[in-house]
Amino acid sequence: MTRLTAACPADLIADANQLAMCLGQSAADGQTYNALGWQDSDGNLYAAASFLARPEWIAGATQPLQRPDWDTDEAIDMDAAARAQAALVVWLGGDDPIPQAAPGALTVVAGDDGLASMAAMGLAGVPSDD
Amino acid sequence: MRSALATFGLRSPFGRRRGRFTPAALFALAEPGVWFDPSPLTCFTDTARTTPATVGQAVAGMTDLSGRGNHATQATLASRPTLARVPANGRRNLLTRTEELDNAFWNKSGTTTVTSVGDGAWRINNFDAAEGDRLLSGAVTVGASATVNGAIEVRGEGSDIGRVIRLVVKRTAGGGFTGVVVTTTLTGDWQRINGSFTLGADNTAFQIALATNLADGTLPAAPLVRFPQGELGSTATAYQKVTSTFDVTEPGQADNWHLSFDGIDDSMVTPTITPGVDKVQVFAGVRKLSDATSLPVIYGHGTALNGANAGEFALFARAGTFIPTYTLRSIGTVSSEAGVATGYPAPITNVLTGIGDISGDVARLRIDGAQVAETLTDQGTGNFLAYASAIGSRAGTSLRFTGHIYSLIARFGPNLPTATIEKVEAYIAGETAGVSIP
Repeated sequence: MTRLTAACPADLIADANQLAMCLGQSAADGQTYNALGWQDSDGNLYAAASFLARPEWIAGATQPLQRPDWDTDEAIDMDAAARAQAALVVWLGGDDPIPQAAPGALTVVAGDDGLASMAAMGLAGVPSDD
Repeated sequence: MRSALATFGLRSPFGRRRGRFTPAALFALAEPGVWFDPSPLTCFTDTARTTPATVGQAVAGMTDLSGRGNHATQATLASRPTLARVPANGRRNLLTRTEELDNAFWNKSGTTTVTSVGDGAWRINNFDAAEGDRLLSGAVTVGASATVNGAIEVRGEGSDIGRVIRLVVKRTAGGGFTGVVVTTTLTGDWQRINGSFTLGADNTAFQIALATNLADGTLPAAPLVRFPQGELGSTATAYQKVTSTFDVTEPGQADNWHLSFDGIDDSMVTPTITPGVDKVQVFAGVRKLSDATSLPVIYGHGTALNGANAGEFALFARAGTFIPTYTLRSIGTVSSEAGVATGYPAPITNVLTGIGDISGDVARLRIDGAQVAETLTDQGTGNFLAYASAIGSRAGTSLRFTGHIYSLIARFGPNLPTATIEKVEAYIAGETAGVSIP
């Protein structure tokens, strides 16, 4: 399996969580992106997720979306999921430069170290004042 | 006959030698709390805890061994920590895929290919096609000015016997060559060769390579290699097999199982725990892998953990700019904090003990069996209140921990005698790889 780390801008969170459910296992995957704990150099805020993805996940993310079998109640907003899919920018390695997180993109980067992937996307943690 | 558990390198938390301390004693009077020892016996890939997890799998459910039924869960797929293992003496081999030389971690130069010959050994084909690095590891980041050692076993077959092979250990950045080259003549037996050098102040990573040089004479065509190792220090230690970041093993060493938290979104949560008392003791065996984020929570009881809510408690791996290392917060109606101002930078492995006593106005932190901080300021009044507890985050939503948790115990009950605390710490140390306490 490949570790993928995703940066989701604030405006895409609702759609991205629909996509996460569509590619996931249950309605609980609608909580994949929540806290805006990361920011780029311009101060734009992002939520993040990092997970071990099976090849089927990667294939599913790049093919026409289908409602998963578990969603018998049709809880997933497939239009929203499709919008998030259209915003996907996926880097799985190779010679191309690692994409930088951007407010209009759901950026996904492969790499064993999630924190390193966040840094490679140009993101840093939002300091906590707690 | 070996037990089924022993066959798989596992130990039952309830089946220890007669007379040896077990944390079950902490909950003998039905004290509220949790006791987590991650392993394939206690971790599951579903929140209902029906399908056991294996090494490298995401954990959705983890059994609470305290008997209170406070099993931890993570329903969101992406937010599940990973079940992992390392040898009891800690990980030293910093390479990865050490018995998968066909993996992309290992760069094959030009026409070089590799073929598995079994038992972790590989044949490097077309080794003599050119001069230079023929099989090159990925970069391993260790920090500036580190002394590193690279090692590998080599063997020749047929006409390759008597020919010379080179092991190169070098830095990954900067002009020119900085590293060490070790040459050896192949024989029909396995030979382990190694070399070490010290990175410069401006270099932070190294890699190892098997290489050719025409100055050595006729080049070997297809040498056999196995068991590559790259580690800190100037000595080649016993080989550790590294299948992945989550799976490191060493012959003769017990596996220390743990949950690996990615620092991005991983965490687990318990059901609501109602302490009913104003005293708590928390014990944890952890390996902290990053200090990059503020206030990473190892274990937190409550939702704010900053004094905004009464009756909360938390153990942090780092406390922002106020206290830059492990910190304990015990919160009645007033928050009190105990931490140390220096030391313990990541990566580091420690046994942590946090003690909170609201009416006694005690917030105490012990590290590796010794008290390092105590704050006796007023904590206000009341008990620790009914909240869910979270492992690796604040309430499952923020303040993520990056690292490993080997064992975690939280007990809400009367203060413990020092002798009992020391027994628990010894138990936690036994579950935690690469740490020992006096």
